[in-house]
Amino acid sequence: MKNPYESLGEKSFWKTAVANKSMYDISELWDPKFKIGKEQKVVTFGSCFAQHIGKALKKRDFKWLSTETPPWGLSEDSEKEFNYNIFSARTGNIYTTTLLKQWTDWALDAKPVPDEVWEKDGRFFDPFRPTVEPNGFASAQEAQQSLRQTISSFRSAIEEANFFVFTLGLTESWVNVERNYEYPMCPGTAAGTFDETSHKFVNLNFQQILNALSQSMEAMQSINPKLKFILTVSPVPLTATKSAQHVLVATMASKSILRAVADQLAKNRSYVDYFPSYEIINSPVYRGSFFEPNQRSVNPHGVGLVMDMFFKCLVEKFGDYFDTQNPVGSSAKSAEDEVCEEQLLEAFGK
Amino acid sequence: MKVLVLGNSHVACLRIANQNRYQGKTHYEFIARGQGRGGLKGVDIRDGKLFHARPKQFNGWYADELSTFDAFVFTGSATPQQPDQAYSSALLRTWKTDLLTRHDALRLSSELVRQLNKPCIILPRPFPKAGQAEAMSYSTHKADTQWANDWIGEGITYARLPEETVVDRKAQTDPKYLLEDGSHGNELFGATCLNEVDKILKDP
Repeated sequence: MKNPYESLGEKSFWKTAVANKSMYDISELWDPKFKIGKEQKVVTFGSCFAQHIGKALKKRDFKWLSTETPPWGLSEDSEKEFNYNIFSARTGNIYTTTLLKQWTDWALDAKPVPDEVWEKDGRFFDPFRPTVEPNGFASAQEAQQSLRQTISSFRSAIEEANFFVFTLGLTESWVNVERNYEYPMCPGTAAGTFDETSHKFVNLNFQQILNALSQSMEAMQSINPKLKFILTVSPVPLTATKSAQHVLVATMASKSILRAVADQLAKNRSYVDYFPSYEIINSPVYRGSFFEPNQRSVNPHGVGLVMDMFFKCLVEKFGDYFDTQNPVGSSAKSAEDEVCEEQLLEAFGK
Repeated sequence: MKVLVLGNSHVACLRIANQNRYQGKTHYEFIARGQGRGGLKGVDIRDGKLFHARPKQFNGWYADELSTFDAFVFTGSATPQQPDQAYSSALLRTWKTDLLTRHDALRLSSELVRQLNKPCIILPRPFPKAGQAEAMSYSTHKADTQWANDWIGEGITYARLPEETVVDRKAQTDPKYLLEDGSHGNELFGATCLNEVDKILKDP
């Protein structure tokens, strides 16, 4: 009788799947659960690495959905400066699963939206998106109105999407213990003032992260039962840690916990998948070649390889159902240009 | 009255209408370059004259003083729509600056008003062909136009697309006003729009 390993394919063995291959030829890293149709709406939220997924989807003419859009005619530079189309709504980075739960609770009216606004030199900052406006808001009312807009847009994203891509980023967080809510950044860093009485550091454990993410997904499915989730873990190390550990050790601990949570959910729930961007960037097999010299930021080459892998694995699993080489709308645009030229030639008699 | 019309391929219907159908008294001249070749990108107003590094790329060109014209019409783009989301005051200011400095029709209109103090009208391209897609109501287009004129100001007037060219009081064009491609106006559309421009110039 054969032993259980004898019937396994090449990808199950380190020697054939990794050691005998160039790092660029390593394949089958992801076995996607869901076929993402080009007509299906995908929203992206989470830590900063999530924005690369949105960009890559757009570039390949998939339906990346943005529900909080800039006005027509706003320049690309201004769009970026005001944080439009970075994520599917203007939430800024949602680093932790507890922050995701907070946004979900606000969107579903499960919890009241706080009225806290930070003021500095006559400008007003949203504690839950302290860097969303380049120079803050003109008034507290404007800041609150903008937050309500984003919450409404976040809800629309949940309601309209087929796929919710979420990148888990951090375990470390800052909360207001008096008012029982969480900030995405420590007060006093990007904006606001640190108050040691009400602002407390929390390093979330496995169970807290798992519970918050499970509850968020269940709440989202309560208003959109067809919604499926694709989880990723950000490969970007911590900028700083408030834990007593060395930042390198704290990074490894945080990422390991987040990876374990994603694994648990993807294994146990049919509507959750995990895409291994974290492994592609961080595995020693790739020799750190996808990081910038600061050993923290992921370079464009790394981002490109991760996203190429994402689409390649979809094709490997579901067949060649989209053209990965076709730039967005190029053929349609050139046809339209030809038509336009014809009108002018006729009108100007040439 | 002498009016210069500038734009992309949507200028074509106005020029053909001017030759064959238009019966008004305004003297119109036309300059156009297809959007695929850049439209009005790179066109500038220098010392009261039109400037472009390659003017031969354009159908029609005017090298003399622009002050000989009484007004200017730009066509080929859409009317900005009233925001349906909450935007900060800083974003709204940035948006307006972006439009006036980067959107060719607004950029050139703004410059012409500043240098020559002559009226500038922006005539939108036709709405999509009726039945092609879900269309907003024509009253929304009227409200958007009013809002754009109040908000942009600067002596620039957005023209409403003539109501007779739409179907079911929606922002969709009656096919009889369109070429077969379904997106460009025909001679009838052009003549109707020239009459609309005349109305605005007569009673700004």
